[in-house]
Amino acid sequence: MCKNPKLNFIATSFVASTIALMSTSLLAHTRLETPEVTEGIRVTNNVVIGHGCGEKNIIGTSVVFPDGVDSTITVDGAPYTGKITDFIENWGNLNQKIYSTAVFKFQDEKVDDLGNVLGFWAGGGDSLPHNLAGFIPFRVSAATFKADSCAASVKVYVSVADICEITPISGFSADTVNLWTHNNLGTPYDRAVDPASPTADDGPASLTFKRAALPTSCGTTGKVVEVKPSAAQINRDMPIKLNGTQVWPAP
Amino acid sequence: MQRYQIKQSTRMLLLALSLGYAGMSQAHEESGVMGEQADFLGYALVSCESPSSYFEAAIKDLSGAVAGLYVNLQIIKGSQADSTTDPVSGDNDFSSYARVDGGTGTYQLLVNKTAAGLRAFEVSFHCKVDNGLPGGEHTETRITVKQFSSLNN
Repeated sequence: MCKNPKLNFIATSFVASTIALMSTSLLAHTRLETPEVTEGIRVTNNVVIGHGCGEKNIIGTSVVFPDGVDSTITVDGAPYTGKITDFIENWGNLNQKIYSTAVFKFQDEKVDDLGNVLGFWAGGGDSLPHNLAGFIPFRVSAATFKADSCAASVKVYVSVADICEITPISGFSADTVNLWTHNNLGTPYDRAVDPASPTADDGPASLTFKRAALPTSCGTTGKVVEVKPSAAQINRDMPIKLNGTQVWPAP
Repeated sequence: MQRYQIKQSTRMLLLALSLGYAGMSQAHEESGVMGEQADFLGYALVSCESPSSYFEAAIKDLSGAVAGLYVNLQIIKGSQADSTTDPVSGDNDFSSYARVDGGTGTYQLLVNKTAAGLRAFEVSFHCKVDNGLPGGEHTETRITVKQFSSLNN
């Protein structure tokens, strides 16, 4: 025990503040550093991992953007049967992983059959301490709104899995993976419903593209568009694969 | 026998090392093989960011010469369009560049051919700003491939 009362106070305060910081970080959902971007502007962004699985470090992360092919789209809250390219004409390959070994040593993009980027993963090397934040960089290319659309904004929901232990799907738990995903798609990657707030679906991160200027014919408000990935896409794109071999979840 | 426990993070490292990595393609060049069908179509959207003033692209037929079989490329933006054809297959030369002065925004890029038969090809494409110097200056270019097939067969 420290016999110097002043040092003892400092040590105790340090421990208390550390506990407070850890408690705060436990509340931090994984989110994008820049959740809103303006049309026509390219942005360097980060996926910000806020904490581990309890006191277990993060060893990897998987990030998926809706591909717009079979995504669920709403316009001002109402279902929309068209395509995301009805609003953002160059949607499909806007996001690019920026190479960085600051947190994890290995990384790559996830692509569709045509080579367009659907998401990315990073992992391996050192692990991210459970009490520290980690920045996973990527770049968002300039989006172009379709000239004749009245969309004022397009929000895409970004699904993220922060992995603490490589397990099969049957091993998913609060100790092995943090799922920042929708809770109502019916996939093994769905975030658990919060019993305290059963109607909330606040798992995924989001990236909102804001219109630079509405056509005058659209009035002053414009329409709010939201895009969720399909269950089929999440099942296909959430896993991490190296040269075609699935690494996570463990097969 | 002493048993070792491999950390999960090390396990990922070992797996990554053993499997190797995919190669990287050159920037602003795409290659592929158009299928047998005469109406095989490659369709992409190319985003040219500020301060782009135009988009240009050329195509090279990598396959051997076949009478009447040529590869084409078209660029479309709004009311402007341009096209180019590789006049000699397999000579390792690109066609002349097609160019549309459409400023920043999204250009449509199509590749197709004049008859049935497989064609390996390469496309060179660039968004540029006209800065008064020969060849202009490259600007940010991003491609999204929308289709690479025949829809009618």
